Amino acid sequence: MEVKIDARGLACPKPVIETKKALEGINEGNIITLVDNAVARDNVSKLAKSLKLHFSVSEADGNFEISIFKGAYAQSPEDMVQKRPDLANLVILVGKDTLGEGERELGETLIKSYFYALSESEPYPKAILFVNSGVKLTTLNSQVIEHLKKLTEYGTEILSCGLCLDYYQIKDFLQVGGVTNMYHIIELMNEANNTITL
Amino acid sequence: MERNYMIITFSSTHQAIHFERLLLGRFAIEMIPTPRDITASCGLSLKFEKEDLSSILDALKAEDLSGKQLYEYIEEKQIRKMITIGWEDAYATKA
Repeated sequence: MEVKIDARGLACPKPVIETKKALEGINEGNIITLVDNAVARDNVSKLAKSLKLHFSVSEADGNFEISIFKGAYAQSPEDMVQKRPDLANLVILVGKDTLGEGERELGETLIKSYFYALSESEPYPKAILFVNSGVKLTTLNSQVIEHLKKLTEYGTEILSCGLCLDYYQIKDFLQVGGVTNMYHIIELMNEANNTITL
Repeated sequence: MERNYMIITFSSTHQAIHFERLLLGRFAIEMIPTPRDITASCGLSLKFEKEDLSSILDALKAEDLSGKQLYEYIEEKQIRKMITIGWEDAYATKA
């Protein structure tokens, strides 16, 4: 079975919702979602990833086609061989680009120090979510970015809030992880055993 | 796989931030929480690769190095060795 969804021109998070509905509607087969922007592409891909479904993305004429396989193909060969350290079912929400309240200089130092230590401490968190000025860490703070890249290698999901990147006009500077929306943030936090807010 | 790197510890946070400012952009340094096996220092340290030691020593020549301590870490197969290095020795070996 193959279902095609034309989600071009639909506002976020509509493409994700439509794709999810379609996936729930079939037992086995392909869902192909057509979107016209990179944020929607990432969000739909992330949906497939979070459902542990195998998917592929192709681009043509500025549009993106995300093809998600459900059923017999659900587990890709890479998933089976990848051996990663265990992740804690822990989500960290980073709401600003410093740690704690007080002098900015110290806060900047502390946040670097925090992510260094985090990247050295097992078990690693399942996801780290960056919102508000926290998105400056995944775009402009080269030292924090290095630590975050290390965490992604261990399987931690790094996600920056799309509308925040947009607000600070730094969407093009994203250096690590993907872009997400409030629905996905809520989902991750609600499913986590523990959420830490910085 | 052996990994060598250097750590400088400080007796105050302000000193640590001052040194970071001095070296940042010129060298690949990292501000990190002081490793747990070093106790006598403030919570912040600078970390850099051993190969940068010589040029960093040059950059620090004019600085007051009292209260700051240099360490070398050698990591090999989960085993970590720490060596305390005196500044005078460091400059002497370099020359």
